[in-house]
Amino acid sequence: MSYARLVALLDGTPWAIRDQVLSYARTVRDALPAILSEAELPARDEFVESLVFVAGLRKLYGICSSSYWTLSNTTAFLSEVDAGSVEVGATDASRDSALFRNLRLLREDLERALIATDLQPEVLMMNYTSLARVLLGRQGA
Amino acid sequence: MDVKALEKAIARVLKTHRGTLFYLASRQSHLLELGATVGVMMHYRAVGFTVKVQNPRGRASFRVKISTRGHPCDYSRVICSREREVVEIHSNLLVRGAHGSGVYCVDVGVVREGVVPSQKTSTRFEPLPNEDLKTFAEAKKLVVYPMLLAQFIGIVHEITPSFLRRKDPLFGERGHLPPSLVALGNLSGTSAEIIDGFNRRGFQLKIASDYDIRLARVRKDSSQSPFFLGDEAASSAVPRAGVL
Repeated sequence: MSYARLVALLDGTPWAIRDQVLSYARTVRDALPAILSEAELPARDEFVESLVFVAGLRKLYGICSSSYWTLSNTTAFLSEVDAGSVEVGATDASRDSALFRNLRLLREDLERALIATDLQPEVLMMNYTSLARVLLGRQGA
Repeated sequence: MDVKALEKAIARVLKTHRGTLFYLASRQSHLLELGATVGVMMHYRAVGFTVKVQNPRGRASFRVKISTRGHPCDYSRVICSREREVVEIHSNLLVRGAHGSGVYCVDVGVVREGVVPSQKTSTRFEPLPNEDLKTFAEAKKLVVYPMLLAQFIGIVHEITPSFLRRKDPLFGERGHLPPSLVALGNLSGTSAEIIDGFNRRGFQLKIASDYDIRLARVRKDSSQSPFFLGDEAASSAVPRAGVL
């Protein structure tokens, strides 16, 4: 698992998403040695690489999840105040729109993929000290 | 954790949802601007205003302006009223700066009633005079980091500098929203200390980090504003290992 594998995984995704994920992964890669040292956890290369990969997934999941939940919570409020359907630019963003459904499906499919491979979203979104401890614990199990 | 299986599973999701990802790539900011507009509505409802949506003539949809172009009357506005006080909320509103004739586009503008025309008298909308703007919010799909905070102070200085000089008692947790920065990410680096410093220096503004989480928290409680959640002090103390 490495930054290079993250780059390969994201090949074909739009530049704006890829750039956010890879920039974030690089920031985490730079910060991890200090984080692990402060937490008195081993900073073996392979382990750090795996954390960098997971950091990229965390950012990807964060982008998809936050976009869905922002739209879900805002459209729910707008329906309470009888705002009618919702248009963002030329796109129908109402709760019964294709956009809403597609964002929900994307989030759900990502979550299913993470859960199926034993990386639950609540673990993925832990701070890096806790995440590192969980992953180390699983390696030792 | 089976890393090969994880990689394969994620690759499948990315391929299946390629179209949605391409949409998100270009519209993520716009969704956040919608969230900022609605969050401002939630704030005014929480402090006792009646919130009423006024959609553009002939349209039954809440239409959010997502760029500097376009006339405000072609987009929805929100009328907020409390006793005899009435303000309007607009998205992507052109306003004059406080120091000259420069024009800025605020993501969410709260203005005095009636100052934004509801009918077109010409094709072009003249930027609002600065004195008609009560407050505003800016949305950034970024983590809150020190330079972003400095940039936001610059924006407040150019558009509503009085909020950097003294605290107006009509603005705050039970009143009008002070100039606010809406950000998707958490506080990184020394941002929490910087924000504490803003408070000590008498700046009146709000930094709403982790904004998607704020919206979720107030969703079921109309008495709360996403900008004032009551645990700002606790949330600003982020351990270094957790700031990413």
